[in-house]
Amino acid sequence: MNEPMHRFKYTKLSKEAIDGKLVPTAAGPICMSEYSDFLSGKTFKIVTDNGPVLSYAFKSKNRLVLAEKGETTVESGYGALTLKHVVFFSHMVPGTQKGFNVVLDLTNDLATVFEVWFSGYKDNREVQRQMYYGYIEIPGKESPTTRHHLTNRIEGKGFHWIQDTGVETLEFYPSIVSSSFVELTRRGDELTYCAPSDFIMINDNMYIYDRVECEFSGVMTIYVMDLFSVTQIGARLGFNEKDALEYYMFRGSGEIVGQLAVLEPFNDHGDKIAFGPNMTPAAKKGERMVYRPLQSFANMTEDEVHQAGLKKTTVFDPDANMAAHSLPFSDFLAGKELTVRYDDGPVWNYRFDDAKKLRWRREGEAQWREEAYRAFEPDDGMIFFCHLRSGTKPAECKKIVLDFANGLTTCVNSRMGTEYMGNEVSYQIAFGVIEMKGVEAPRYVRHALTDELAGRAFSWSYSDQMTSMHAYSTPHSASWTIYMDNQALGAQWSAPCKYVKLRDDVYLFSLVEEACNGGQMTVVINAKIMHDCGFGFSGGKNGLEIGIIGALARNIGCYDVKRFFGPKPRKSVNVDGRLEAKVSRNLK
Amino acid sequence: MNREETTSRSIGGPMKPSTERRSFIWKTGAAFTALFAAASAGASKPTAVKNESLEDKVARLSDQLGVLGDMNAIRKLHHAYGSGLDRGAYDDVINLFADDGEARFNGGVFLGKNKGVRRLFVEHFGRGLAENRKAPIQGFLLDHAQQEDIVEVAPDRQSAKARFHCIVQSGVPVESNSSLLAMARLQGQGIAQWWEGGVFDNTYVKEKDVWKISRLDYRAIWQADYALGRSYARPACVRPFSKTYPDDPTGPDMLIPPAPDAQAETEPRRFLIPHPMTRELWNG
Repeated sequence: MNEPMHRFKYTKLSKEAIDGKLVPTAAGPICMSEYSDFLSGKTFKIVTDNGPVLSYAFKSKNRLVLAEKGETTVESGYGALTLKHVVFFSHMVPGTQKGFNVVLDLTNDLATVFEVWFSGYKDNREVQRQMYYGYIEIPGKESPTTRHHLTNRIEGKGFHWIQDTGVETLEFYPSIVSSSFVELTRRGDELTYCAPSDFIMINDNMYIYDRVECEFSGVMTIYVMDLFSVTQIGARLGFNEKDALEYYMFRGSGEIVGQLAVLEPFNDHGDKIAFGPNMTPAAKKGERMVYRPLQSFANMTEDEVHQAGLKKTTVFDPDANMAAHSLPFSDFLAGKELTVRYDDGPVWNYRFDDAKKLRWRREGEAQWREEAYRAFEPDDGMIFFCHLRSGTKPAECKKIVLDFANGLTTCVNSRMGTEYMGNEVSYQIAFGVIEMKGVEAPRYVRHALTDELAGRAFSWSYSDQMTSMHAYSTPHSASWTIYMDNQALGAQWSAPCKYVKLRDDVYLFSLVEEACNGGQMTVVINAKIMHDCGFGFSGGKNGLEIGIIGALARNIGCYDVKRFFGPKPRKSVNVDGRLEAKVSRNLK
Repeated sequence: MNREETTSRSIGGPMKPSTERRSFIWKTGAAFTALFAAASAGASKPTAVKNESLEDKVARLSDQLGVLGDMNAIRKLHHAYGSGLDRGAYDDVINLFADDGEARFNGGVFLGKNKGVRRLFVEHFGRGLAENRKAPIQGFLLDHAQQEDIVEVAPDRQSAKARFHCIVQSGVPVESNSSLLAMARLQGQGIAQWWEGGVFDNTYVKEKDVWKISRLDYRAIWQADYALGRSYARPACVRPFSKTYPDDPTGPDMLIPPAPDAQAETEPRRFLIPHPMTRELWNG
């Protein structure tokens, strides 16, 4: 079983190790497509605003000479690809850990330079980049006053891309500072991952995009895309999970799989990022907002979580941040008695003393156990309730859907702790039937896992101050993105999750923020009323908590992606073999 | 306070005030009139009394001056309170109270300068909003713009009542362990901001010639989204205290019924002083 990227222990490469691994880059990037010879024989200077002045002389279609600010020249291999009026070339500076990716816009002589380097962050393998906007200096010609610039014009778009390498991805731009991607061929685990990104406008149909897989391999992907033809030219630089160098250029083509709604004011074109008033300005070159939950999340042992829970356990706090828009509690279960029988699983008897107190026992046991509970009624004849299972180590929590109209039940049985850490929830979902007077349960019909939500996106307002956008980007994962003050989408992260279809337009959604904060959200989403209700379960240094969740939804849109998922014959991918072969040749 | 007596007296009119039981409102009214007169450049002479002896005149003016001094001292005291609160200087705020002073806030009464009042400001406000620092934490905003102040000094000038309207710009970091908030903070957000309109109905006591807060009673009347402003205000919704100390470690000594919901736009409030022209009190 492959290790998901958020679990993979990437090697902490030393600066010296990176020096060694970068030696082949002196020959320039490799590419499955033919390089352009457009630049061959040309000499020009690129002037950037508050950045480098780069004097280039292109000796051939794969060798260049660079002088930065008129200093000593260096010769390097490079690669160049063209897309309409745009030339994109990439090279490293031999003997250093830095390089340049340059976009030239031949219609107006504009240039955007991405200086990239390694060993600029505490994790040396993470590619750093700094963007500079500028122009090509042409003697005798007045310098252009316009520049390429940041944009929100492609915010919300989703793509299916196939590179000339055979690498196939789904890439989503729900944010103006982050993007998410699904590796359809490299990994095939149908999980969504997020990376800090830049979105730069060249013109109405051409844009520059980049991302660095921070918190993971640290690999950078950068490309220029043309939305008319849905084609791309780009480069990838970094060290993969085998610590092998990936430095190649690619052509690709794809399709736009959807567009999410953009909620900024109509006069906001995204040329500035509306960070909040407390945003810390970048202190050094390349520094940017990066959500780093894998680094900031403090792992705890099972015992530490248990001890914290003994000190403080909070259940059903009505003033919790995510409870402001919760549905009203239901007293439907008060006075009722029933049994839930799960397929090949547990059988539990329940007695509901009132709207907040229940007793339960395993079938066959004499002793009842008393617990506090809360229940919601997310749809007609459907109850969703939750209770802690007191006194267990690790702590356990049950969230149960009772679908009285159909005699069905689904249970999300959660406990604190995973094989990775004590303060992360693990859970199983069980399907079964309700046994109760007046309820006729079917023998074979069950609630079931579903991909019906895959591709859909909703904003969820937990309170008037807290809204997040969930993109259910695969049948096994979702991303959440935080709105900025101008309602542009900003910081983003993702996690594996499960979706259960309860009824048409009514789903159970359960997500654990794996390797993030370890907490679990389990809600019933009713798309008919655009409202969810449910419960959070988490443990940490502040104790154990079962929280109430309720949020108002808006339909943000949908990506047409379901067809890319599920077991199916995959095209063989030769990226490793062919590229590794080329890298080997370069090494020789 | 004898309102009937007050309303029957004319401010600056011919009726000579009783020197034995001087009307407190008469004093404040006279002071207001004096100020008004001074502001309107000779429109009228300040509270001249016909056939008044020089001695009486000196006594009356001295008294008026004393009341004006008291009023200014109380205003300063309240401004010091607002300033201290805005800066998170809670120890300084506490020292503005009389030893047996009390604070009424959110349906709770906090008794005693060094007990209940300290608990409210240092432990409740300080811990929650300023993390026990003598300065606001990043994202904490409290800015009381004090306005429409009305001060009534008692006849013996040893106690006073005052009403201060205020409009507050408030901002507090949203507390949560959720990843949503962590991400919001990362992009410079994670702060709840709002406008609030409220009224202080305070009492004061003079101890050794120093005015101190005897009872601070703040009531939030309306709140409004920071961006949308007061046109979209709604009645203030501040969750009242539900437990007393020590069940709530930062809770009040007593619970009092929360004030009834007020209208967001306006709330009828009786005037504390008579109308400067009609001499009438308005009870709303």
